[in-house]
Amino acid sequence: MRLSANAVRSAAISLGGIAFGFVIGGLVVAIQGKPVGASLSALIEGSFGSEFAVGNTLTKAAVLLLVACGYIFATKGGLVSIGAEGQLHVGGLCGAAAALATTDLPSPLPAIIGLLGGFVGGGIWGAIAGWLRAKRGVNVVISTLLLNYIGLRLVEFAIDSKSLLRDGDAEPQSARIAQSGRLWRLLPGTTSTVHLGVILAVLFAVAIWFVLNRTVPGFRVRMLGLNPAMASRVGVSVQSMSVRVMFVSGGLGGLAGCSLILGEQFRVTPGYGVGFGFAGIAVALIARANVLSAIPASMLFGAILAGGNLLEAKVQVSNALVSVIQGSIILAAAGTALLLARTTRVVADLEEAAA
Amino acid sequence: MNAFMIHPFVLAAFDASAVNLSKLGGQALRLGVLIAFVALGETVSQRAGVINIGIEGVFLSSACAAAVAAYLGWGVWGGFAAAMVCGMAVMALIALLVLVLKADQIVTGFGVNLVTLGITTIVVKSVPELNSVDGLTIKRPFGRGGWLPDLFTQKVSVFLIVPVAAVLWFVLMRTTWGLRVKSVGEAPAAADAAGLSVNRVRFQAMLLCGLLAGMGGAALSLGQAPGFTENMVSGRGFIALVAVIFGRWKPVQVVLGCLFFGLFEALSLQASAWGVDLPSQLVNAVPYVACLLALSIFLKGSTPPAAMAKPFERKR
Repeated sequence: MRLSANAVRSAAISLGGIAFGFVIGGLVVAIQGKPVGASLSALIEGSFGSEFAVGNTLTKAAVLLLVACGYIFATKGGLVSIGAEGQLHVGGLCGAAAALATTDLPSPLPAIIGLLGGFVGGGIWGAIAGWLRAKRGVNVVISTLLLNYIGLRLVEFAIDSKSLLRDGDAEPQSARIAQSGRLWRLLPGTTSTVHLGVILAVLFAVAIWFVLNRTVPGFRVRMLGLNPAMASRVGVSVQSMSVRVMFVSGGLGGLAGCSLILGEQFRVTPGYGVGFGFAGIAVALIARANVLSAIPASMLFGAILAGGNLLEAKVQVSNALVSVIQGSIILAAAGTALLLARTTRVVADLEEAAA
Repeated sequence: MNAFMIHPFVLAAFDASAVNLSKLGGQALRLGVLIAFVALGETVSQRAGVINIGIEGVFLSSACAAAVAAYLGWGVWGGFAAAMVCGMAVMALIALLVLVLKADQIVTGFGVNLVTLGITTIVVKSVPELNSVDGLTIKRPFGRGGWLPDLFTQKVSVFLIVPVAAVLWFVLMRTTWGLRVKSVGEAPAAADAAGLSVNRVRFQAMLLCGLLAGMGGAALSLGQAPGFTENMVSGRGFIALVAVIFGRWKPVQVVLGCLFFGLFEALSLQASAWGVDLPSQLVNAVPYVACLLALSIFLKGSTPPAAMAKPFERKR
């Protein structure tokens, strides 16, 4: 009973936060003298108005969900990693390289190898930060931030260098990934681009929830986050765990990059996923570090991102409005955390009194 | 040429005759100082126990405010004032969230960065004239091409860092208020028991942070560039965050950390002019790699303020 009352309240507060985001967005539109109603309907049409739009929402949500899972996994281990942007790009690059190198193998193999390559690539990019933390005491926030810039430059370098991934002379980009290396379309023959990455993202979210909450390694990760001193007393090596946690976290970011490259873009271009890393972290933040709540949260942000495309075309509102709405939702989530804690406490007190 | 021994790649293939040390130093100073104002602001905030990831957004919005004020004809110093007010206003919003509502500081920072990015982009898209505000950039006290080398023919905003850093060092290290700031960052419960209002001191520190970041914003859009462009800060606020840790939360060292980054940024910008035959993308990554290496080599043994990122609540 207590649980359900709390669930209703926290859902109400979350919905209030989302509404706040749209109100701020509406105000910004109104100040510019643009039609608020038409902007909202353009946003909705772009995210849910057609087969294509829904597919677009879902594929964007998948990328955000994978990033969010990575962020949450690191958070549970006590590490604030804001390196998804770099891990996503490096992971997608490695995934593309792996899929391209094995392109002649029978059909699902190149895609599988590509995903593995992406996980390992992103994982290594994350593990560097874990290693620097473990061995050299470098704050993970800072190292992951710097690795973001380095990762983006690395991608630009790899697709500009003939001996690496560059294809042709026209523009710096990789070769196109053949059919064998792509993630399956779930609805072939329709305009929807929804692909296997969407299912993978949800599976990974559930798996991460299970690992964290129901297994021994997951318990170790959480212990590391809650009380590192105690963790090391009972024999969890804080140093090697930091590296491993960051590997998994980065790997999930790498999969997000693969979902973009192997699922929809099919070739690596400079800065192909800029913004997805930070938006994915934002999803994790409004989900309050709960992997399962990240599923609906990623849908919401995916829908806003997808809808943003139509804003400019239909009502000449800059799609920078997307950042305003997303940012306001995050601020509302941050600002209501105390309110949420208080209501849960009040409810608990009341029920205790009634019992 | 000793200065370049630290960079073996550069040493391997470059045209020594094209190297202009004065130009390099000038550029390093310009780029470093830009970040230094912001990093000093962040230093005050972190010393008070507030990690302000939103500094990127404060920097960006105040750069935009400076350009808007200049566009409205308030002049250069009007632009500076507008930027400082804007920086303080955004910091006051952050303070409302993290001090009063006890919001998570990192979440709040992220939100602020997104909102300010969105709003400033919309502003500059509706007023494209902000891209280049004519004749309103900051002057150089010593003209170029005279007897002074490039290193010293900087704009006023660059020289400004010297008094600002000196005053900030004095305030933080030698005054009662500075001691209060440090005490609410290290031991808020003790400060509270001694009769200080923890949140009031933190609020003051955050306003000062906004003021300093605002100076950085004005120096960027009126000094470094002739106006405001979309997302023109592009991560420099985050670099300021790095510089604070690199400088171990001490004002003078933080400024030196910024100059260190500026030097590597200048090196990477000038590399091609020196005939360095390396892929440009890798050269562009050099400042960040240098930062990471420097952090991992020199950081051991430095500890952040103890109450960092923890909201203060009086125990009952």
